[in-house]
Amino acid sequence: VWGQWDAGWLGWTAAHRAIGVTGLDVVDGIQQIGRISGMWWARRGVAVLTSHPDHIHQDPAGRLHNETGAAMRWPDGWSIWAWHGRRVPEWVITDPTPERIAAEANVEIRRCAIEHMGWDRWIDAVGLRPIASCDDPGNPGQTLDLHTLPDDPDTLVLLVTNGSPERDGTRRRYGLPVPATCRTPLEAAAWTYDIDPTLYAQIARRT
Amino acid sequence: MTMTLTDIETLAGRECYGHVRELLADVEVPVLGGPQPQGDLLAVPTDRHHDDSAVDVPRAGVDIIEAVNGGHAHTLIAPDGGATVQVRRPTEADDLVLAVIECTRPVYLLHAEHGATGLAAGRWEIRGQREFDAAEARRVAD
Repeated sequence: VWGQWDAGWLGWTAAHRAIGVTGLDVVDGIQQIGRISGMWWARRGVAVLTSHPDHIHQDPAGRLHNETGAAMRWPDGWSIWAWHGRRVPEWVITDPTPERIAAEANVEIRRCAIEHMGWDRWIDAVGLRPIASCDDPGNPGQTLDLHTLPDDPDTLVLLVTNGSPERDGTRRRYGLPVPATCRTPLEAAAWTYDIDPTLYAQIARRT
Repeated sequence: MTMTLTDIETLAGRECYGHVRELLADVEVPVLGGPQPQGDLLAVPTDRHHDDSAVDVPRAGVDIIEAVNGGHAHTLIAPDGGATVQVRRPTEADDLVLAVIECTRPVYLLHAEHGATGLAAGRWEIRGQREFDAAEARRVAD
């Protein structure tokens, strides 16, 4: 049960009661708990209530976000970290390093950590060297950029750009590891979907 | 029948982000017969048929890729019916085909951050994207 997070709906029912609507007794308990508890869980014979968080940080778009600490923190110290609405592990916010980024399997979490570091700083830090670039089919004005990694002869990194802009007009970038057997950016992009490069070249529209 | 993003959102009963709607709300969504990526998915024409687990695609759509990690679902919508989809759960790392679609009318893929993608009548594979893991590749090769 959402507790205080249901304040809008709980207030709506309270207002109805205040103007004389009857039959709302069933929400009495939920309303009382909503005043004192955050999310809570009811089980047979036992209920788990949580306290309200001490703080909540958001970006201007209203998404959970804090560049310097927890996005939400509860009085006992339990916290969650978030980057523009994407929930991330603590290290992404407090200590994003190239080593941790390389060890992270989730491409979205890597993107958040690299954005926090800054793409330019990250590219310098890991020593990415551009070897080839071409237009991204179906993604006007964007390129596919293939890079080598200094300490890993088996892997190349393909930098790609989202087909859809963000709220502020910028586009998300992603670094995708591909095998060094890929000889061109187009081959590398096709490899990520396991299709023929000639088919990838036919892409007319990316969103 | 041509469809705008707003038409498709109305059918699906869900809306894209405001900044996506600002750009695209009243623009006709192109229906194409070639490969089209949407985010990290790629729709590609295929010769493959789906199996017996395929289901009809409702006009209001069905999520073929669920929302995970605070992300968003990819929803498949068949405004004129005539479409079936097999949703797959591949277990092998190099099996990237997440869904197989057969349609006699255009279908649309909708995503909150990417808007709508129109797929012409035919057979389609929806492929996920993979990444290379040198350590894993070396392990497999050993």
